[in-house]
Amino acid sequence: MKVNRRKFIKTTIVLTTAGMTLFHSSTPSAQWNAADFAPNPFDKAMKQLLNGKPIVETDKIDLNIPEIAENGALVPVSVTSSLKGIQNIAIVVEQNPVPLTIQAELMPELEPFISARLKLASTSFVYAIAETEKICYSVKKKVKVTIGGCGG
Amino acid sequence: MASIKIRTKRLDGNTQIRTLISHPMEHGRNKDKTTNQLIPAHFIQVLTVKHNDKTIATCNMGAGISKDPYFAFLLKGGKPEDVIIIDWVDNLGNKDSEQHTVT
Repeated sequence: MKVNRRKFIKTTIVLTTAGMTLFHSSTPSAQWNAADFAPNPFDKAMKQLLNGKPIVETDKIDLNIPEIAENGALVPVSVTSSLKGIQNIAIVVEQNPVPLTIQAELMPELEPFISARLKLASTSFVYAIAETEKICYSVKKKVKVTIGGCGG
Repeated sequence: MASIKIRTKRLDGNTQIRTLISHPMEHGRNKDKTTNQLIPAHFIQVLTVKHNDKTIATCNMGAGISKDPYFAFLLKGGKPEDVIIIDWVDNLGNKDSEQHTVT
C-alpha cells in the first residue's frame, strides 16, 4: 500500500509539472497577462517583462518623446530601431502606478516602428525596450510633466 | 459601434497604418467629480492588426495609454487593395473590429 501511494503521489507530481510546463509553453506570449499590467513597482515590472533575458542599453533605438510634456494625460511617443530581429517593442514608464504601458508583438512584415500616446503620472523616465530572440535592448529618456502650473 | 478609424498612406514603398480608437481608457483610480465615486477601470487590453488575414501585430496594453488611443505602424511593402483589419478587446469584454482597404 505504502509503495503504491508513494508511487501515485510521485506520478501525480511529475504529470502535473509536465502538464503545467506544456501548458505554459503552448500559451502564446501574445495573451494579455494580468500580472504584467498589475500595479507593480518598476523593478518588478521590468523583471517580468525581461523574463530572464539580459538587457543592454543601446543607441540604436530611437525613442521620440517630448522632453517636456504639458499634459501628462497625452504624451505622444514613437519608437523606431535599426536593430535586426526585433520581435517585441515595449514602453515602460518608471513612475506610473502600472509601469508597463504597452507591449507590441510585431511580425517581420512590419518595420520596427510603433507610435502611440501615453499617460504619465508624473515626471519620469520612459524606457523603450526592444526584445530580440536572446537579448533585450533598452533606451531611456526623461520626460518632465508640467501640468498644474510651473512645477516640474 | 464604429469606434475605430483607420488611415493608410503609402510612404517610400512602405505603408503607414494609423488608427484612432474612441475609448475612455479609465485606469480605475480617477474619481467622478459629481458623485465622488471611483470610476471603474475600463481600458483596451489587446489590439490586433491583420494584413490580408495574417496577424502582423498584437499589442497588449494597460491603462497607461491615453484616452482615445492612437497607434501607428509601418508595414513593409503593401499595395493597393490590401485589406487591413484592426480589432480590440477591453477588460469588460467589449470588442470592436474595423476593416480598411489600402488605396
